[in-house]
Amino acid sequence: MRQLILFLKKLKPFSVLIGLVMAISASLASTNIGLILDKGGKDDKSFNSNAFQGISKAQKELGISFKFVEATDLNSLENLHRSFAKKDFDLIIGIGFVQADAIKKVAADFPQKKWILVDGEVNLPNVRSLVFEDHEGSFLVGALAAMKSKSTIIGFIGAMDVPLIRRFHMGFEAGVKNVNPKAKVLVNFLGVTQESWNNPPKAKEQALSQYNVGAEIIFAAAGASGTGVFDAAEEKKKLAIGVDSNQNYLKPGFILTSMLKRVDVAVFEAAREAKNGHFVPGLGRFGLKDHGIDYSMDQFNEKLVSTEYRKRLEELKQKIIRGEIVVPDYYKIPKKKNI
Amino acid sequence: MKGLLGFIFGLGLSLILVSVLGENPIHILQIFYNSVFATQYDLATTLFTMTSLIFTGLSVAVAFHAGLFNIGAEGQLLMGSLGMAISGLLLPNLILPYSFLWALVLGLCLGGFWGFIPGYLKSRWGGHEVIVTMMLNFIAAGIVNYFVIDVFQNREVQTPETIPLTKEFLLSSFTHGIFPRTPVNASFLFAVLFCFLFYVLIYHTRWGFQLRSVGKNPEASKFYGVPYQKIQIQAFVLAGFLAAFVGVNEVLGFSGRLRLGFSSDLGFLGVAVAMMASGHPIGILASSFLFAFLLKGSLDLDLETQTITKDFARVIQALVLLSVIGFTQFPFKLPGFKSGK
Repeated sequence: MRQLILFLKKLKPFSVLIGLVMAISASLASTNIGLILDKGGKDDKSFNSNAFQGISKAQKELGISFKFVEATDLNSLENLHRSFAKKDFDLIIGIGFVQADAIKKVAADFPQKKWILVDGEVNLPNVRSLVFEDHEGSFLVGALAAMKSKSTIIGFIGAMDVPLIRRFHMGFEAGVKNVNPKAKVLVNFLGVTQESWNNPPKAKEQALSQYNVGAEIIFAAAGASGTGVFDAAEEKKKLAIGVDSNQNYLKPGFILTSMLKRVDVAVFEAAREAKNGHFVPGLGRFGLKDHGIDYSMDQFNEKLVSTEYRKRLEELKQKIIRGEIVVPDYYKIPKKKNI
Repeated sequence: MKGLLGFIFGLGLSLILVSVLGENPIHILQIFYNSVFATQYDLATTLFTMTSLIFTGLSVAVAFHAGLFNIGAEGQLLMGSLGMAISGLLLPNLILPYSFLWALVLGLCLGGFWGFIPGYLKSRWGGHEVIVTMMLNFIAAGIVNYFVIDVFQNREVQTPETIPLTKEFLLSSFTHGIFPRTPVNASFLFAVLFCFLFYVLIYHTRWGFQLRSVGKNPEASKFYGVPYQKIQIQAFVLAGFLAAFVGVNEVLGFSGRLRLGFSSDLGFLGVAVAMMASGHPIGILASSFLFAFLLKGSLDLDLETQTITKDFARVIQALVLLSVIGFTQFPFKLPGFKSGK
């Protein structure tokens, strides 16, 4: 072991040279952005894919360069942010609320660097937090599900039982009840461990059992597990609702719509601002008003959603924007007394 | 010694692979080296993971010596951490040193209890410990989830975590961190100390002898009058205690609260750590370091190179581990070494 270390020590001058070359080439390049994805990774076809699309688009259209990594676990996040902070990045973007802790620590240590946190809040002068009003979008797709469904049973499948997913559920149920107060929402969570974010087989089982007891439409707020719900929808010839990205194309004809959470837009805009040397710390909210949250319509689902439904949906949307309908928000429900 | 050879072999193999991909192998070695030794922070992060792995490794090893498989270290460490995280919320007005002791006792009791269940079921009714511990992992995850989200959720943040403990309950009220502003804490010293204590306990005490005899041949030890059922339960309770010490590292030593999903399968990695060392505590010191190094090193590979992704870094991890295990378990003799093992 010791000899190995000594050997490596001898190699150090080379690495300094390599590092120097890399540093120079990096400084010659344009705006450089570091992107840290959540555990789901860039191919989850949902939340993280969306962020990755945003940065890829920025690379093509704005000519920025970027480097992305995927987190392996909770305690690795701080290490990733710290390594990025030490390097020459104009902006570091963290995707997912779990990164709030790490950013809070590292951003305080590197006040001259800039961070953007998507889906969480950190109050520091060099961090911009972008949060989404998930419950508003969930409300809309819930309302659509209730309009479309002939039965009064509507399903909800959430990934891990955490506050974020409960927020989706709360908005969704409110939307269903708004259109059809008699409707019943079946709720299943995929589990209590991290695996539930990426467990399509289990999602499929739960979806099948929800369809079997009479659900016609299931909202899959389940990250990469959602594909299992879509499979079940195809098998049973029923409908499902996608989440975060526009997932309509995954099973055309079986996905009623997708609740869009435009992380890609948020990331793209962040990249544009970084390129223009513009940075505003603080909180940015994305909701129905600015299309940060929306539902998707495209060639794959236009036959499923009639113009009448669309009209009613747009009305509901306007009401939410004007504040006539207040969608319950799990984050803001009266605090249970903490012991 | 063979392990080191295996390590070099596996590393060499993966270096050949990465050079096929177009990365400079020397650069890769440099990244691996920097991953542990570049800064104080890097070393500290590695040692932090290593600490948890020593505890889970020892937890698996003690059951292993009794001929039992403890797949439940994950659940035991979760229960232990839960106990520690809620101790200060249940009795917030305790003062030092009772506060810290109370946290420790509650955590260890819960962890130990989670070890007691499979031990009792095994010795009383022969319930197979692998199945029982595996199931208990899920039950523990469910219980922890309930307490974290529905009872003690920290409403200031969106992340599922408990309300932070006050200073009186933390390890840092006794010792200052080994390195300032890094996760590693005094529990690393505990972990190393435990390895030596474990060695003495297993190989140089009467109880350790009984434990090993139960592991080697339960029938024979029964006829010799070893209370093998009692030993099995005791082994599992001890395993639970040891796994619960991960909570000392994570909750009392570092974050001061229980964050859902903090354990990156530490309990399951503990199985690999213990198996690689054949349950020998000094070997566990080495293998836990190797695992911690690989976990962090592969992350840094993803970070520092363009071609090597998280998934490819896993391939490297697997290659190194397989060759280390292959070299240590394969019966051949090294020229110049007399030791039989």
